[in-house]
Amino acid sequence: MSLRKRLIACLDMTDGRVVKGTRFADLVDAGDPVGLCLRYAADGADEIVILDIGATVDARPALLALISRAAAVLDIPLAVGGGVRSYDDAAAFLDAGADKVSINSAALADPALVSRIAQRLGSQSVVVAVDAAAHEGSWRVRSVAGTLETGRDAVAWASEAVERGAGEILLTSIDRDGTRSGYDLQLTRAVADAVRVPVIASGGAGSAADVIAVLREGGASAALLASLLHFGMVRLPELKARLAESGVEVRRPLPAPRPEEVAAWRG
Amino acid sequence: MLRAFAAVGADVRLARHPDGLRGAERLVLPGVGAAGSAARELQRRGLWQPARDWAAEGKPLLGICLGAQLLLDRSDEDETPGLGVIGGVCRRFPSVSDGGPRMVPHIGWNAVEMMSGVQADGYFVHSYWLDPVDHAAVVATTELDGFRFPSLLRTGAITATQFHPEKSGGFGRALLAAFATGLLDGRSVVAAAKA
Repeated sequence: MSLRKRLIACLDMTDGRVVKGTRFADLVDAGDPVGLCLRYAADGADEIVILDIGATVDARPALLALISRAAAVLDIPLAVGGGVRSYDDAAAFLDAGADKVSINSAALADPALVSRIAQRLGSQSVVVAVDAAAHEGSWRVRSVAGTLETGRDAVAWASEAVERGAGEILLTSIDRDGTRSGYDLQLTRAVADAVRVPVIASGGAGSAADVIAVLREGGASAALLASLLHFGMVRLPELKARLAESGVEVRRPLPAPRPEEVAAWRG
Repeated sequence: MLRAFAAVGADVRLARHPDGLRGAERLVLPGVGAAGSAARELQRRGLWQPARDWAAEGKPLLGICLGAQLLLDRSDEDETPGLGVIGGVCRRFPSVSDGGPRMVPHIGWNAVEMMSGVQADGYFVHSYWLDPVDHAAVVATTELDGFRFPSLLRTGAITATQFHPEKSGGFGRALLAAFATGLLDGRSVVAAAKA
């Protein structure tokens, strides 16, 4: 038994509403992020990521309130990204109840921001998101939601982010994002081999087989799942069962022990 | 932490100074961060000696992650003296060449394997591990890249977890509920478990 491969449910939201995801006909409000968080947690998600893709300054108080509501009911880790531009932004997210913050464009604009946050809040709470696109046999980093070519090499930037204190890398293949043609296994493998922190693979998942491939051949520690879950193409319990059958160690959906059983465990 | 205890129905409050311990039945030492600064913060707030006295009086105490590491005699991290309420040392994971794990910090879900053979999955975030003198205190261990370390300790009324029960799903909630309702208080455990 060793470290489990994680399945992370990602909620893209803007203005306090989930952008994708209306498959849960039984949810009173399918656009409510907290309801979806709970549903995915109950389904066996190992972690939840909330990405505020709007991330306007005006929406910040509502986002903090949302983090607080989600953290109050979740019993698994919660990461939040979107609009983290300063140490104060990161601290506010953690104070509201997030366990980790995901930083992207602001880290590229000011790499020392990663160090500042990691030194004061701990590496475990710092995820650096790297959006990468293939470029002449390697991968280049893009900033500002994939719109700005930075000229940086993706593997080199991921390594630098880790040296500066990133506890995890959230790696998105821009080429594969939204295509459902599978994760970029080569990109994921290149970054996973270069850093000694968990790499969360994102972008391109179209099937359970894609998830298995990125966790095995890709060397990823976790797979980020968005539309695959939101549109009901796979369900987490079945996906975990498939992973386990394929020899990928996942957190097993065992029934929780009763407190009396926990108390009976002795050395 | 407060949210998690509230979720299992516990009446929980944050003790920022020694007065905050008044009337409390059980004490939790949570913690994420570095051992040195955490120890200094406990001392600055005047909570260091009260925490030691608490344990010496045999009152229920739960240490979580860094809070668990501070219960030992000392930590390799920042060469920090611990509270010394559990004999032992908090050690850094060895390097890969010395048989240590490849990925440090250990971040993620891993099996908490009870000596009885029962397993549950806990959420971990740490770079140091608990090495108690008395192995009878080890209730469960966890393995990372072939390196096995204690992940749940119990001795008397003291419980120490290397994982974060507040992030460990239903298993973690059950552990917090067990502590909050007195099931981990020590000698009464057997009777409570039978009841």
